[in-house]
Amino acid sequence: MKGNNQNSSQITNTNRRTAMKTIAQAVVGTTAIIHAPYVFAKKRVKLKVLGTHVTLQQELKQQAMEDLGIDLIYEAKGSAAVLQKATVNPQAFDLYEQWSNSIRPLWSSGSIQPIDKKRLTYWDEINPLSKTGKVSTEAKVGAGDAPYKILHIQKDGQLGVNHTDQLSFLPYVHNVDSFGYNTNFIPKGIAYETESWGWLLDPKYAGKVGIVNAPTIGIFDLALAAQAQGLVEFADIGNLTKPEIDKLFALLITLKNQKHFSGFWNSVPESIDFMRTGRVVIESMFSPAVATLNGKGVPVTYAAPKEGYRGWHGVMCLSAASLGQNRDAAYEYMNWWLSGWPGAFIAKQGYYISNPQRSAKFMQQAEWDFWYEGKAASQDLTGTDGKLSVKKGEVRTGGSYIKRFSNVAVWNTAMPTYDYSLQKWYEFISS
Amino acid sequence: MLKSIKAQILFVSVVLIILLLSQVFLSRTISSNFMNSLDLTQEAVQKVSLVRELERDVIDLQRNVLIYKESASESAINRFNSLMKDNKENLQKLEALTNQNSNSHVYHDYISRMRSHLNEYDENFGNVVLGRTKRQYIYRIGVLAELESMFSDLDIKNSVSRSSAMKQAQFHVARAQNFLLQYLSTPEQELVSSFQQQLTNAKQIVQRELVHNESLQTDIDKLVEIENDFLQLAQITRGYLFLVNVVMAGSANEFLFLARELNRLVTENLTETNLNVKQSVEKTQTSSDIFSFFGILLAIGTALFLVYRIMVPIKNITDVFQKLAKGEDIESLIGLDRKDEIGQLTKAASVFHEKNKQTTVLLKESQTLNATQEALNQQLVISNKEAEQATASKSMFLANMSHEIRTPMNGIIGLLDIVLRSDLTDYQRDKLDKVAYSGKILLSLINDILDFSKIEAGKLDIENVDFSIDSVLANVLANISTKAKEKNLNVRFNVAPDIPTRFIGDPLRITQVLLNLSSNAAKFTSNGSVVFNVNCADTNNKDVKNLTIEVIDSGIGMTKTQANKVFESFTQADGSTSRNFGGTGLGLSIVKHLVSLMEGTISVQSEAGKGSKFTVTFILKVGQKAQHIMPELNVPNGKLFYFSQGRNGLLANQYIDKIKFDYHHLPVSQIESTAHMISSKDAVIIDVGELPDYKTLHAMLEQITSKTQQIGFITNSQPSNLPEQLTSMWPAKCLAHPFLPQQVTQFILGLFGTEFPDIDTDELNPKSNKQTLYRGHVLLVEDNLINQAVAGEMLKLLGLTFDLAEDGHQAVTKISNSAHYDLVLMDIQMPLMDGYQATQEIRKLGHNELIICGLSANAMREDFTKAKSIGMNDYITKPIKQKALEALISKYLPAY
Repeated sequence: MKGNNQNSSQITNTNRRTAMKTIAQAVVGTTAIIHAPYVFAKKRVKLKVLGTHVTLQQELKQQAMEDLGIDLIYEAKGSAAVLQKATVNPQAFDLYEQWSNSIRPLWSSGSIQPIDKKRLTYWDEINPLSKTGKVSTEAKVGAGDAPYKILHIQKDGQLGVNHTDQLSFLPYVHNVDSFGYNTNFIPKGIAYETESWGWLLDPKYAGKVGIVNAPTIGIFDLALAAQAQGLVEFADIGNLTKPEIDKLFALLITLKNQKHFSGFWNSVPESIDFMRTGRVVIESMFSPAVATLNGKGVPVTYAAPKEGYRGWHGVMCLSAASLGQNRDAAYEYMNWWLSGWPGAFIAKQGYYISNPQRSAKFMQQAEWDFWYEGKAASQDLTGTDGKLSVKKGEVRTGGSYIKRFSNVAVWNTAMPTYDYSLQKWYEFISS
Repeated sequence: MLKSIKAQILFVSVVLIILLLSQVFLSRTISSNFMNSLDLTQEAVQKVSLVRELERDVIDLQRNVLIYKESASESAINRFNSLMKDNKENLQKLEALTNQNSNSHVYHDYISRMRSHLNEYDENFGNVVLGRTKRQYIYRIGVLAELESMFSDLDIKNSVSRSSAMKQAQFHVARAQNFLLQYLSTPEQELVSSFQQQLTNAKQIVQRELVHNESLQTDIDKLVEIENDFLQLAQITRGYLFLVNVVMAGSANEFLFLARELNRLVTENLTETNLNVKQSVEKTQTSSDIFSFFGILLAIGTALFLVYRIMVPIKNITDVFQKLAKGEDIESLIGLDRKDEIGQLTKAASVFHEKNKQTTVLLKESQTLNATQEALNQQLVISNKEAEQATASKSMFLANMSHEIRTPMNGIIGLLDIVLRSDLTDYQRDKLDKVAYSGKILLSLINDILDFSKIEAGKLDIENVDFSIDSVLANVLANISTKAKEKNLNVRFNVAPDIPTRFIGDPLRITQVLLNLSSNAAKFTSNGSVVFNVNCADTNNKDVKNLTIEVIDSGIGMTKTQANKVFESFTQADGSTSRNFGGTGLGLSIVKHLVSLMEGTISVQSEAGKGSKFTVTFILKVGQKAQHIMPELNVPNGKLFYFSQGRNGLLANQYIDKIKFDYHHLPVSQIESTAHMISSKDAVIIDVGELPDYKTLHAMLEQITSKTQQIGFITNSQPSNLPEQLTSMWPAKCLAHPFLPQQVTQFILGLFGTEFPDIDTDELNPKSNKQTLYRGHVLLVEDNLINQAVAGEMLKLLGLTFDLAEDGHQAVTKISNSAHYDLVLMDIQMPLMDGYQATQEIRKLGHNELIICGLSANAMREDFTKAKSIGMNDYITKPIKQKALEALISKYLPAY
């Protein structure tokens, strides 16, 4: 199946973008003629994209604008700020790019509208991770809101596992997160064996620990760490109860007061600064930060914790306020994202795309082998910025795509105790 | 280099100046550093306070956010905004403040991060306010109001249908409202679910009832709307809570972290600044101390240098020089090895010292020599004095002796003179003449001895009186004539006619000199002639003339050696001279001394066997009323014919030149041929050299005498009888050599029968025997009996009567007893009372009119002056001479 896809893709590849443009123009053209001839205009659609730095990158923007013939307005913010803005003000965006853990609040706030599965050109190519939750038979599903659990909009308007034609988000970019540590200060561990979330709370690194400032993410890093240290036991780490949260935060606040934590980063660049400046030697990290730091010569190892990764899944949501041309453009943009090149592009920073086979054609074999297959780099690899990010011979921590996603301990999740955890989180970071 | 003190001092000065400048520079640097440090510190303090303020304000911001979250208080918003504004301003200030910092990029990184956090915080708060307000709105106007209206609507429907279903629905709505209120106080997901459940329940009930009542559809729609509104409210609540609890808290947390970091940085900076300031101050203080230390060291060094290297050595050198100046000795010299100015000074002192030593030695030697010299001098003085005393004693003795001898000699000569005036037989006269001659020789001898003694004793005085040179010459002429006649010598006087008649000088001494020379000439000349040439030369002063007299003889002469010694005392040309010619040998010595005393000169030219020429020159003032010794001769009638043997006749040409009338000087041989020219008015003068000439002249003279009676002859001194023969044979006058210009004048004028007055002679005609007699009574005061006799005889000869007094006492007594004397002749040297005292006594007695005339052997000018001053009228010298006495008497007493 993979082979077929590849072949057909190769055939259509050359004209794909042109075709899409034509289609888009045709659509716009027809609607314009039907409804209001006088508004037939050369006015380009201005698509507002609200999201994080992870996906809102200049190269992507330029490429998309060129491919789609639309204007893109990227608004990149920190995770929490993006979510807040999106929930409160759907008019501020057409598309929303963030993580799966923001889906529940977003969906319940009514800021986004269902995505019509039929308008997604490459739906069929999307791999089982977001559809069934397992990339392989041996794979753990992982605690919390695994993407497949919240992808489909159920008949009752709730998000659920049953497949429908309406999606809460477009599955596209995803990855597993863990923590990074500076091997100048911390001896390099063995993936899945010695590397442990517990290191985050290891007193050895007191004062040099950084945590991401996002309760839906950070809380799992800390919960995994606390559990790994044997300090707390959770019944379901993906759905913490109030007492469990109380217990966890009591512990964390104590540690905080002991100055165990150096900081709580709000954005990826901030996390890079934390590590680069030596403010921390170990911290919650996203993959691109690790690549950047390695490119800058800071020897950061992205751990493959034996407890498993904290998985995350990118979501592209359609604003409830996005209608008409904008919504059409939004669908085109969503399809563009799965059209191969963007997946290949973000692969350079270690992210996976939901239809990897299509992107594989846009990658060098060495890149595919390194990023997806978990093989040693057969040559130096550059990052999205064109700078060296992987030296020849390096092997990606955690192994191949399958291996990594078979070891997801928990997904970023907005738990039912989310509101409560917000209060606790506030107490924690403000203590 | 730096060897000289000047260079050293200059060097030290330069070093000091450099040090001073460095000090100034340093202190400036210090103060500038300090100011900078102060600025830095202030800046740092300002930064710290700013950062603290930021921290505090952010915490305050959080507090206000919480207040707002709970109460939606308007004042919290205001407070938030003002704090935000402050914060932003503070950040700006901090940015401006750190612009100059070296690590400004670090600060600016922090600041920009803080600012972005702050901006996000601000923006998020805006969203919070928006959310909170919206929630309130939804709650009040939306959900709550709708629930209320729903409740009342259901109430109405209930009353209409009267079914329990409505009640049930109403119950669920009420429950929902209850959950809503609970949610507002504690926004939790469970409450949302509960709320939704109640509404769903209500909806289901109403749905069931819809079949009964179509109007209930609106209620269902309303319930859906309420649920939507509530969900929105819940989402908004969750959103702003998320903002507050997570995003803003994160921002604030990070902001605070950054603020703390900044604070740490600033504090570190401040600490570092303080440390730097401290270090800088300490450093500068240290360097200042070091500088000061070196400065003080250098100053002390300079002072010590000045003191030990310059002042003390200079003081030492000064002391040394003072000692040296005082002539004291010094033991050692410090600093001789130095090469600077002090060393040079020391060397100079050393040299000075050596010289001093040498000088001292020399001084001692010269003192010794001086002492010796002095002793010798003293001895010499003593010897001199002794010699002088001896000489003086000798001279005094000789003088006294001479005086003592002279007095009786005077008596002898005087009495002889008187005797010779009496009638005597020829025999007696001849013998007495010889006695008189011997006496005169003896007297002259004694006079010579006396003069010599006086000269030796320094007691010979030279007079300065107005005198007639004619008289002097006449005296000499008379003297030499006599002597020459005895030896048949020709004597000739050639006197320049223009010589003044009168000079001022000492006529006696001049006469003495000339007599001496003439006596010598006559003495040492056996045959031949003695010639006197008298000339006068002008000097620079028109009143002063050089009177030169040459005495030339044709005698034995002298060798050069003899001539050189001829003026020495007791020396004659030859030892044999005194044997051959006699004499004391004092004559020329006395002449020499006298000439010297008169400031004249004398010299001799002589050749042995051929004769001598003595030349004496006197420097004399011309006397008053002086005329030429020979006036111009003028005769109104007749001519003069002078016949001589040759061009130079016996009458000197210089005399002839004075004849201002017609005269003819012709050779004797032309007498005959010229005779016809001679008239009776004319006069004829003929030279007659020798007696034989006379014979040849005889015929011619006959011829001449027929023409004129005015005939004269001029002859040589020899033969001395020639004039007598001539005048006895012819009615003619004769002028025989030697003669003076005056005699020439008289002779010529006599030829023309004109008498020429005696123009200026001090002496009367010596040949006159006729004695003038005077009236008067004279007191002769004279202790010496011989002198009494001589003087008495002389007075008698003058026809005068006299009394005698033997001393001053007697004289005074006699005069006071009977004052009828017309004149007193007062000897000066007398026993009991001398002449001066006696004169004073007489004048005291009131005899002021009485003529008193002093008599003294001391013919000194001072005697005469003294005599006049004590009251004497006149003064004459002894031995009294008849002529002098008569001249005196004639002044005061009347003649018969």
